[in-house]
Amino acid sequence: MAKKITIDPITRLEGHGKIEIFLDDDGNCKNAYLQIPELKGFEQFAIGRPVEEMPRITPRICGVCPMAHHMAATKAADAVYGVTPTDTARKLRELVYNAYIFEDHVLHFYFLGGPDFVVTPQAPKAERNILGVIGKVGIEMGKTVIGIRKKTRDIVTHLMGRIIHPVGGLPGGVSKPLSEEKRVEFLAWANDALEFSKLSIQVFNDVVLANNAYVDLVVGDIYKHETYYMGLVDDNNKVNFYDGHIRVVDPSGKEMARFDGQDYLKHIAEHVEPWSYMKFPFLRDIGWHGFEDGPDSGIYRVAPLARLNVADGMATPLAQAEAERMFEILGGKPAHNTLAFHWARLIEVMQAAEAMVRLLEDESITSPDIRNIPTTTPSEGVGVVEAARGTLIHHYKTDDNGIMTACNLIVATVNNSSAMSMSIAKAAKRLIRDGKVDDGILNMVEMAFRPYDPCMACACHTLPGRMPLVVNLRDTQGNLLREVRRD
Amino acid sequence: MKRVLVLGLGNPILSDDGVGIRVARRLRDFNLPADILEASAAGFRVVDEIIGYDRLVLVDAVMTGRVAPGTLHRFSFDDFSRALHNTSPHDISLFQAFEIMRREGEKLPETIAIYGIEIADSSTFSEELTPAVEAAVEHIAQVIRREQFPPTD
Repeated sequence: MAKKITIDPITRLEGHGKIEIFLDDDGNCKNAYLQIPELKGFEQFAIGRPVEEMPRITPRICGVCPMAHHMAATKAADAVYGVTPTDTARKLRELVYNAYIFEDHVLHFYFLGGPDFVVTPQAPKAERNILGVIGKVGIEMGKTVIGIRKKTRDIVTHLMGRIIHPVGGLPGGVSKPLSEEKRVEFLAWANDALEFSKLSIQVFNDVVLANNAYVDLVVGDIYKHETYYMGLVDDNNKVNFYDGHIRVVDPSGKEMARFDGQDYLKHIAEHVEPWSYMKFPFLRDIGWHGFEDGPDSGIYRVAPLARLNVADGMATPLAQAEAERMFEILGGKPAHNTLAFHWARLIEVMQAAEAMVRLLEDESITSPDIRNIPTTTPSEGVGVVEAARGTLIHHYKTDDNGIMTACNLIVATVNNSSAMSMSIAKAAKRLIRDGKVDDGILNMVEMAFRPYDPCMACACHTLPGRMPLVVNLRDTQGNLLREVRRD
Repeated sequence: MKRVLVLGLGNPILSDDGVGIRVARRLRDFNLPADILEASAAGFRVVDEIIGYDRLVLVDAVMTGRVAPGTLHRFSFDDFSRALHNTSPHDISLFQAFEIMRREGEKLPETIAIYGIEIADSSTFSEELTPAVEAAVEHIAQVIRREQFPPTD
């Protein structure tokens, strides 16, 4: 009798994302899917509101990536008003944006992805968490992680008003200049961040790369897909988080498309599946051919490794050297190893830190010229940024008074929705045999989606923290055969 | 003087998810001897707000599906202390974050009261609560005021 297993990584709310695993009569995995129900009604919520409110509203969509939404919305509002931010405003936006990327990636590596590597995938679950990580890397390193996150968050808070719900971005600029005194203070912090990024690469070398079992996992076939990749690049085709052109490369690394944000609909289409509310974007020119990888499938990936794959290189020297080393060890570029998203994340941490130092060494960042006032009639605009977890697109239309008449968002995690399902299915098929499904195996299935750092718009929820991961075994009729609570 | 924080959690544009914030805003009207803050975040992103306080009162939405919307749940910190796994794939639980900060030597509240309000809808973008939850806000604010800030005459 076929069975269904559900891994339900949720807090207190039903349906915020679960993994469905279907077993065949022999107890082997037949297929697996990731379900992420979409929140409803944001377009209707946005319509009728002033477009300049969108940078303050959209961060509330998600408590995880508020800065990414704030910046995408601010850039979309720039475009709606046809206004370009001043040079200083752009530098300040880039500064806070790099601080956000740094902080978000550090949190992910040490707190979320780290337990899989630093503590080992098969470790007892009581140790497979951040406390286990601190146990391994040492309490002093724990203090350093917390301290550096605080400094980068303080930079964002100072310039954007608030960290969780930033308010600093305005059409044509930002609301607050940087004083010389703060520039000097933040430059010292940015240098601390750079030193920390070097330390983090060293941790990865010592803990992951020095362990053959881990390296085998990273380069092995369980966590590997040859797909297209998408990400922003600057005019020189280097990685850029804040702005640039959307570039797509094929599974061999050849440029397949390079376009500006406003043309996204010409290149991206969305597939719908009856079992999920989430849409599955794919490359229009290649087409949807099911949950398959390879050059004939329009499925693409975004986020750290994708960004490194699409770019000709990193925008900063130390990160570039690390990227070269990574591709060499992984056997060339593009790298298709899903677990290497964690590695690429640390290389991006380094670029973000180097970028912060470069921006703060430039004394002109303290200029009071922080805004161009919009003068044209608003109409339509697209804002694109690289969120920590991938390409994020905001598309707004307004009437002549700047009141929203249409809104479309393609959020980072949705770009990876097909790839995540595919990755989970591949891992489950390789790892689940003869109905044997223990905690370690389920964790290794979850490891297939953690590298993508998925955001399921549920971070606002806290209670009850005790709700366990639930694994349900069901028969073909959906009857519950067994329930395993993983608390 | 002991420092007290009342923290309303939730998303104020996601229907009932914002009830903790609505209750916190109502409590602000009472001029209580406490800081009253709101946050739409979880785990580590919230714990920064809490450092330095002696006492914490947390108000958040809960969906157990076992009781009527608007019902008030009371939890203690110990109810969550075993929850060391990640509660979501992209952040750690608030309680895990507490434990880390304690081990790192940060000063965290010694007394923690946790109120959870049963909700009906947290997946529709709206600034309105559903009727049963809306109807409960005033009563719940009064209960929390009475239990956490009793008259001292």
